[in-house]
Amino acid sequence: MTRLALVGSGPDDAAFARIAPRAGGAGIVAVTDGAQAASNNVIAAATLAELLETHSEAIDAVIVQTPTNERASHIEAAATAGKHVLVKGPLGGSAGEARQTAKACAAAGVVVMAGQIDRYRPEVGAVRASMDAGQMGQPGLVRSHRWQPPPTSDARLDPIRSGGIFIHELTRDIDIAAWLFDGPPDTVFAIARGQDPDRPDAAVVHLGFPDGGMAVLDVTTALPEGEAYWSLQLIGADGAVYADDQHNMQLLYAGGSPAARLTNTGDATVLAQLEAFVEAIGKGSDPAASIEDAVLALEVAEAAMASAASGRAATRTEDGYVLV
Amino acid sequence: MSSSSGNSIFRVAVLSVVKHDYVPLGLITHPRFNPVVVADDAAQPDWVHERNQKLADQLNIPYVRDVEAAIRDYDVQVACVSPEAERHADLSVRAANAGLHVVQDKPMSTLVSECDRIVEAVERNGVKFLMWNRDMLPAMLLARQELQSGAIGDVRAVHVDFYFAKDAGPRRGEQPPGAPKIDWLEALKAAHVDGSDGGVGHAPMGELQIEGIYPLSHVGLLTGARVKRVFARTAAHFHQRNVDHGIDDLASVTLEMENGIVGTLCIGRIGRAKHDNDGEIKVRILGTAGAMVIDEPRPAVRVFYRGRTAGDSPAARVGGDADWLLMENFAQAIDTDGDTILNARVGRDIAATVQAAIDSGRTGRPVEVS
Repeated sequence: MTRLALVGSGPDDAAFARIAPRAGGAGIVAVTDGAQAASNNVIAAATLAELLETHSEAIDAVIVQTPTNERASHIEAAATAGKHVLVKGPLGGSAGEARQTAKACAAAGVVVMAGQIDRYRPEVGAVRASMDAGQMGQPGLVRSHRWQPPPTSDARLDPIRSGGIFIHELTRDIDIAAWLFDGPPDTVFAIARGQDPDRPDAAVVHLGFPDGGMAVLDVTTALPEGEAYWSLQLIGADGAVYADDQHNMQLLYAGGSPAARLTNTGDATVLAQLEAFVEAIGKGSDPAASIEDAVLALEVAEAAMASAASGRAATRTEDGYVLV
Repeated sequence: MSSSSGNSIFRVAVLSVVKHDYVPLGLITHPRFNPVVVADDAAQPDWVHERNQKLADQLNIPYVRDVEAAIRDYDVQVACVSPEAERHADLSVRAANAGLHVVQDKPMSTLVSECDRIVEAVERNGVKFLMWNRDMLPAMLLARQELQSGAIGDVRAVHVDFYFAKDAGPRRGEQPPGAPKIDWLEALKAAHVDGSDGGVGHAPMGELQIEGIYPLSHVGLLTGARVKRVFARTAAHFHQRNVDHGIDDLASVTLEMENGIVGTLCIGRIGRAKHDNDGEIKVRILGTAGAMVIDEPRPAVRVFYRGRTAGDSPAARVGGDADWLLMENFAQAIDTDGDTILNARVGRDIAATVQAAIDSGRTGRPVEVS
């Protein structure tokens, strides 16, 4: 059994506890930093440092879901202690910080998996599977929308702690685009909007890939409180895939205009992510969502921030992204 | 020009109809518009005359190989203009100068300067101009109705997908090495049989130029804002004829608009195999108090049957009255000296946005819309 510790609280605490036994017989055996324990039989430590000091032998791996600006130190501490690491969300607050983390983790020789939760959505799995089966041909366009209500936690609301819309949110969509195009974008352009210019709640990132590839990624955290909306399209030379919440809506008639209800996919996403992590640990292999992918997503997000601030496009050079 | 008011009937001259005939056929859904003549210039090639004659026969009206004579002799008040794209402006300007109100097929022109010429002629002659558009489709009416009711607050962003699931000759790379360039005009003339000849003309045009006015008109109507700056990526991704002529069949455009509104447009002629409908056409609107996801082809009925060919779309649009509504809008504009839903000036601005997007795609940099 892979013994897991939840470091920091996240929206998937309960799901992890519920599905861990299905992921190669893993289990949540410890929690820190306020993560919700599913039973009284787990170790509850105030901090990761305390957990590693007092119960290091009781855990094999950690799931880090602390605020973005605290993540790098937690990842490095766990890796240095010989624990495998699954990181929920971006690897850190900046690409530079993430590169340092990647270096430290490489020296530790443990499995570090950048969460990239959206790769494990069943819908995205179907998109990727169609590509891998050769049905799509050369990808031409990736188009995504992810609309969410405003964050509720203090850490998410604070752009310093969360990284804001570009780091905390758009790294997810950038990772999907780079993954589907199998490489980094060569051009980045972005626009951000919000009542407070320092805290935009809507952004569009427009990416160019080699051979004419393109991606348009649209994210907002300004939906009214309630459910989110998501869609992803891939248009390839030979095929196209459309994954869209609209298509998966069911209708409820209870007087007046009907309401739409999304047919949800249960725990499938979190389970697939955890299975991939546990499998990589078991095999001692590099996870598909690598630490390098996470660094790239941060590099592109930073280029997008620079583009949005300057109104200019950025292109990829040997020295990174440069505004033109 | 005869004056018209109230419920008077408008006599219409169809000035060339070399591509699809949906504009003149859409026009006659309204009983106040009565086509009385098809006309074109005598110097046009035979294939143009053949297509003009065909519509004249279909409508049981004469075909006259002299535009000015037809306008003079048939007492017309309205011109329906649908020739090759590069002749749009010429015929519309001549019609406006003759005092006719003009309904014109897209694109407005292949050149922004020609669009300017239309604007000048229409405004100087005090006639009405309507660019054919899809803004009266039922789904778009619903979107506007919800916006007007305040259901999602003020518009912050509009995102449009506009993919036509149509083929366009050999796929990219399908031609043998050393094959000559595909002849644009001949290819588009041949595409007439299945109605995919929207870009017919001598000048090759990409999807942005051919179809861009439809989604950009949606964006303009829903936001009421003009586009100030664009960033675009363009590619010839699917079809060899687009590769041969260096024009896009796939494009994505980010729009910076007035009042801080953001737009995006993804457009392409993606090929028949890539959709179970005529294409994925969606409008997503983000407001200050909510959001909407609108499927433009709805309402539709899906039809499946043994022996269905790959070219048959299983989804059929039903229940719309878009053509009649467009013409009613046009008639009201004439009656009341009001504006049409897509007038010459707005059409010209859309053409300028398209041109800026093409320029941005070429340079990799954002471009101001002139």
